[in-house]
Amino acid sequence: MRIGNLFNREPPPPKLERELRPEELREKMRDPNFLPTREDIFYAFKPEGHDVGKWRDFCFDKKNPVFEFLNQEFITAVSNHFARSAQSLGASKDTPVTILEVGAGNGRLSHFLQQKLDEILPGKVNIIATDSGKLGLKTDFPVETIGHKKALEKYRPQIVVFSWMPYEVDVTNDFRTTRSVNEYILIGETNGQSCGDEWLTWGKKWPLDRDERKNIPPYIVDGFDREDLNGVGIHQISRMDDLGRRSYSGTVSFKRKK
Amino acid sequence: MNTSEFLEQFSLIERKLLSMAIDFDQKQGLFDLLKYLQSNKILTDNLIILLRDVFQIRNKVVSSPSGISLSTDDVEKVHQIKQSLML
Repeated sequence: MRIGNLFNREPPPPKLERELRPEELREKMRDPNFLPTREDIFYAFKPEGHDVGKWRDFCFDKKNPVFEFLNQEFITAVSNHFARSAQSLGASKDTPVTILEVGAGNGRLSHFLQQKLDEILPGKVNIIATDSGKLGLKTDFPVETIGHKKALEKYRPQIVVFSWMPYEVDVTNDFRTTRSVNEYILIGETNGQSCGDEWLTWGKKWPLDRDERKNIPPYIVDGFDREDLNGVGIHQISRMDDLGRRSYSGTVSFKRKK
Repeated sequence: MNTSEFLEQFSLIERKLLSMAIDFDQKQGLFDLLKYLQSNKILTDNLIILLRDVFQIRNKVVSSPSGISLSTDDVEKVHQIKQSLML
């Protein structure tokens, strides 16, 4: 050891996630800059069986609610999808592709996606985080307070992403009628569960719904193809998950037909 | 009944419904589960309507940042379903 080190006391290095106790790791997960792995999440919340109470308390927290539990594997998988889409749209440093996030909440999703896309396609994709501000959530990263219609007009994005669109709300019609939008991605519970409107968003009718006007799903009428991104979905963990037993959220792409 | 208690009760109902839907692909969501139970005539229409109502309550709870308060009518529907499913 060099003598100088005795006087140059540096703080001890941070503990690796595996050296933390589950409760310490849970506390660390409140840091918006920390992006855990799936394994970290399981370790923090399922040390000896799934403690549903702790999980729900964490996810339904009034100050910082968690809908989608962001993790490294999920961010990588979504970013890879966006990178492929951006390349197919001819993204370059001179003409970067714009991805608009609507309902960005605390801004973490856009933040981590931009970080990852800067590694994959440096300078070729710009992500803009926006939120109406209606839920009054605190932001951890830059999020522009603006309604989705104005944001669509202002940024003319080629791609739009909405994670956990509120129940019984549908804004996908506005995505489809915006000419610049080639693709929109919905993250969260799909197919008429807790995100969006059963019919307007997903084209699903409740059993015993005899409304004959509900014939062809609106996204098909508007000329969009649906693709379930199962390679992304396998990494997702949402507030309703049983951690390994049953997964409820997914990611779906709707692309304008050529 | 608070949010956490409601979700616990809902989870019991969901597990029971899944056990009744033998060929159902569990990767599909709750919405499709209800359709399966109806189209295979496993449950009566009245029970399907009650379940639809409770599924919608569940969706509102899950979609809200920190849960919602449930009305006595909501709680009554949960009890009726549990009785019908012998839970």
